[in-house]
Amino acid sequence: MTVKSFIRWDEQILNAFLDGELDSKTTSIIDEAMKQDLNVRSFVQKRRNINKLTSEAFSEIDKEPLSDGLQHLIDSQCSKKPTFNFDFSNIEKSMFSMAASFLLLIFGFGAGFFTSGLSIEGNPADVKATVRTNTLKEMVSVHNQALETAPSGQPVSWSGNNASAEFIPVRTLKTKDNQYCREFKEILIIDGNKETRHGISCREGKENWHTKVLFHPSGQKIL
Amino acid sequence: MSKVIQRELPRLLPRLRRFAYGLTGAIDSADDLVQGACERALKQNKHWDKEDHIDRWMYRTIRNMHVDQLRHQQVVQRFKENVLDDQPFSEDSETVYEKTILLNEVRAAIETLSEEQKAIMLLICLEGYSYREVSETLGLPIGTVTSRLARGRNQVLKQLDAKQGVTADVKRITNDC
Repeated sequence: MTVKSFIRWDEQILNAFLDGELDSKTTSIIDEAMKQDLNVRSFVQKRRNINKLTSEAFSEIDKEPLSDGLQHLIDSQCSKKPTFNFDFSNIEKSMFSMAASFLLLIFGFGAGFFTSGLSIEGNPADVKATVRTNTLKEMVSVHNQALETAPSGQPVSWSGNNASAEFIPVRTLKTKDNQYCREFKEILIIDGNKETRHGISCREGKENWHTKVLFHPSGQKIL
Repeated sequence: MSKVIQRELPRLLPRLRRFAYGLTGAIDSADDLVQGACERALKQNKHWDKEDHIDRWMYRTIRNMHVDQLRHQQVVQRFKENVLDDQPFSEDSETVYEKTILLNEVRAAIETLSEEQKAIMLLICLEGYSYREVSETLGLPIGTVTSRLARGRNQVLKQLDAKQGVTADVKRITNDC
């Protein structure tokens, strides 16, 4: 039997070998074939690598905190709470009152368009004061830096006077027009009001990202 | 309500989330799916006498719920699918995004599999279940699991090979093994 036909007809056996499903006799025959035959070795190694990459690709979710609903369910129904890498213990207390949803909205647009329709859990009475331009600029700048340099899954934190944020690029995409885009998650805490949102921004130049789409966790489209 | 399920769910969560992420391709949808399956498990009057059967029940439930929900995918998911069909990065940003791209391509390749192939691939390649366990979990003959796994792996490899940049990465990592 030639090597080609071996691979053609016994792919399932080689897969089973890779997954530890074969008896010891067959395993040692394939071990031997691996040593002698580059094609067999390559076949198995490529698929072993697929396992490794698959595991790595989907383990990305391990770094993500549970959704609010799932966290609530587990907290209320189960005996042991799982732990995650997120730590919001260093959030500064508010120094001045700021319009939480106002800022969130501006930030979502990135370039500073204002419209209505965004709400966030907390005290709506706070939605009066002026946004500090420097705070906003800083926040947008960190958002852009995170998209520009942070690998997917790696959070970038920022903390200001009355606000803090965590930006997590989720994955990187490229459109048919050759534009680089990144899906991201952002957790914004302003005056103690927390908001988690998901979006996709596209790169328009160095550290210049434009938010194309933005969603509430509920699925409601903001932008 | 069984205390076994209350104790086991938090322990199983990371594995269930990875599986659901693999099926849906989106972290939000994965958590929704896991939450739905957890709710269903907690509501069950069933007496969970064997802890090692809970994981299989959960995987099966997640997979069934996912198939039920496929028609109701969110807008963000559709957007993602549109842009995922693309070429790898190149030039200046290549270094920064190299690993991200590779993993994106892997996720994109898995997303192209049929729902059944996807579940089989994820349970075996990601969670390390045996063929027999997967056969019992998904209610498929073992021969079907074996053949669909082989075809699934081939399809993923073919897709990755089609992307030049990714092929280079795969070769590099393969050489490191």
